[in-house]
Amino acid sequence: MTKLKLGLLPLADAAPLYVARECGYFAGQGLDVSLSVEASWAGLRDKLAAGMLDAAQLLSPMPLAAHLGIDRLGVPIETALTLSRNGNSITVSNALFARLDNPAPEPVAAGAALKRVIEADRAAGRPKRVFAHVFPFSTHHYLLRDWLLASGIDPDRDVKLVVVPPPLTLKALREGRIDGYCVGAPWGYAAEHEGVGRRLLATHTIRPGCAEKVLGVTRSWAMRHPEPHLALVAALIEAGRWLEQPGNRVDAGQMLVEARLIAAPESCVRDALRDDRDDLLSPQFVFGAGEMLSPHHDDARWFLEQMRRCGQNRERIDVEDAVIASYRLGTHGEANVMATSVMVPLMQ
Amino acid sequence: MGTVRVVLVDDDTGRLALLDRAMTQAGHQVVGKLDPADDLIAAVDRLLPDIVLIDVDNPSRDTLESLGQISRDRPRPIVLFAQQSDPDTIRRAMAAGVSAYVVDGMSPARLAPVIEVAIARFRDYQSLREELNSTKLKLADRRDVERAKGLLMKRKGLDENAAYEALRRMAMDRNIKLGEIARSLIAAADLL
Repeated sequence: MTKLKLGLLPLADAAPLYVARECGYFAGQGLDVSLSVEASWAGLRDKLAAGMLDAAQLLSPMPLAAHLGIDRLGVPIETALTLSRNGNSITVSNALFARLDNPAPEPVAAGAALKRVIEADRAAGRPKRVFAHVFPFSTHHYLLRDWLLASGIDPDRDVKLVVVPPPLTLKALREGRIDGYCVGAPWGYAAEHEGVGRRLLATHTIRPGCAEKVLGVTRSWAMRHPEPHLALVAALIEAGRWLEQPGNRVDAGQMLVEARLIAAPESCVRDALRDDRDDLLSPQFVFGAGEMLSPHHDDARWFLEQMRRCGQNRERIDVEDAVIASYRLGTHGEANVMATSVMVPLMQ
Repeated sequence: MGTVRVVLVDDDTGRLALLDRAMTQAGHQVVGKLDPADDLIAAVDRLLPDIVLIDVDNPSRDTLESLGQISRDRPRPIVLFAQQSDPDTIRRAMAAGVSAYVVDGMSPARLAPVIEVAIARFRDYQSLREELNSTKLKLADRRDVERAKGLLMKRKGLDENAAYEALRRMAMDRNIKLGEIARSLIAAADLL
């Protein structure tokens, strides 16, 4: 058994990691994996870069930011596996929701409603609305900006964007420090459960199937440990497929609840993982359907474009070089062959 | 050149006080002591620190991290440690539990002493807490072992030495600590 330490953040989409442990997929691939719950994306990245973790569940843009050195650490990180797609929601305070006049939960209607409120605010001389996301190099940040821009709202001039860690979002919303946030499940549900806010949009309506979390390792670790890396990816492919089997999401919710991973009400954690609802506001997590586990170069290119658009990266870069170096299709293909123990889901 | 303006962010008031004293003694100026749940962005804007020190494992690090990215309305770039320059310092700091956010362009010569004091104090605090925990644990262990011994003596009619020996053997067979086996025995006895 090869011992590995795998870092994660307490969110609903850590499910594949717990499934791989509880269902024995790590052990099946000859791995003895300990899961390490970390407190911040910055901390996760630092520990990975310093070798205190072997691998980590990262935000999907993070390997690209590391490749470009714009995360200020510049330790190259690569991924051969998409752990999850979709799963974030934009939630606003009750007060703002009331002003928005109940728009349909889709980007055009919600965006038009927000633009109207922002224009009215400006005419009345009110301060800018503040929206939170979770990290500079996050899908939450880019999807929020993308939606604002598409709605005719300038994310830098018309609103103020700040970073608030997920467990503190409810407090910030309750205290009126922010008007809304784009954060992963279950924190949208939690705001409604606690009565401090309402979900406005789920991000799968902004960019369907957007890569959300990836399995990250440093390039040097991948080079030194090719076999454990493949085994780890293979085990998590199996976990992803398991999560797409009918009925298994309920058990996955139970695993997260029993692990006491997330400091949100149990019902919110369970609801976040359900796949038997097709309403627009539910997170619509995709874990392992067909080739969705593969790191998609289209996602990587989109993230690089968002980094350029929001001024995180002002240099001329070789996009294809960054994409190929960070999102490793070859490694994924090799691991995919090793992943055998789960029935292939019907949704291929 | 002036003193270095330091902001401390910690939800552990004991460590906060310790760090504050150490920084001041070393001639640095502590311009703010904040709780991580405070509005850090507003505080950094107001206090204009050269360096922000925070626990490596604090969720609010992601908020500080974002300050270095925003350039339009906040020209205060803050970077993690001394601009990728010294991996050894980074590792030592992380092992001690401290992370540092530093204003871009601040010279390593001014930075190093602040980081060194922080590392030393975080370490002190860590070992202090560990010591405290282990002392508490030892006291608790001793009390529970005594209780378990008493139970065995009463229920099994053993003398004190035989009861202790029985406990020790049980702990060794199960590869757990004496205190733990004592506690499970007490719990089991409470059930019966």
